[in-house]
Amino acid sequence: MAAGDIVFFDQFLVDVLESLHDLENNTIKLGLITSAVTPSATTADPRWGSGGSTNLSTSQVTPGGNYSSGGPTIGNPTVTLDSGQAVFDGDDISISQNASNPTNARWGIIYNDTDTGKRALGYVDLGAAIDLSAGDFAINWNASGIMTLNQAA
Amino acid sequence: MPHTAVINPSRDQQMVRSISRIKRLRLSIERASTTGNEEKLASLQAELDRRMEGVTAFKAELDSL
Repeated sequence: MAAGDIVFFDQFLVDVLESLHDLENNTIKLGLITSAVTPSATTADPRWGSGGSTNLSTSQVTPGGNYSSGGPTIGNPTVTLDSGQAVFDGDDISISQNASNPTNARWGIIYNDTDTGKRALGYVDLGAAIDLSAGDFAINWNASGIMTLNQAA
Repeated sequence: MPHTAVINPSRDQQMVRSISRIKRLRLSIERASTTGNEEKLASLQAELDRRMEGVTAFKAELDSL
């Protein structure tokens, strides 16, 4: 994997088909975790909290400065039909430098904060542990959106 | 299908992203207009305006070169 790669959990694919997410109207967040765990597509029932098999929030970075517990919200979530593809997109993430910011963010966990079980959608590979106290931190989603669904070729 | 995000993007990368996002924001604004969701409409419009300002400023800089 490389920095910026986004991987969606296998469980999320099931959750979508079971209508457990309303990506356009739910609050979707990006929680930051340390290298204590290495998420993968096959991570069992991943959540940002208890209730599933894997509680990723237990590895959250230490909140502080401009990073609040739970992480920033992905603002203005949109689901659109764009050139024959269903696209889930949202505002980019930006956390300004602060001396009290977390110093060891390794993965970004995309999860549904509206969902009672806070089911996770996927994760972003930050490439290495990032010190947010040393400078501004930003994640720009892909120009094509966070996720697309299209007909199989 | 998943895509690759950009960590700490350059300004050029931000512009590429903004141009695509602007297209989808317009589509979403069109939809929100038909459903009468005023709160969402205002939020989407504010993001669109912010993106447009960024692209316009970038273009002005290019034009001045």
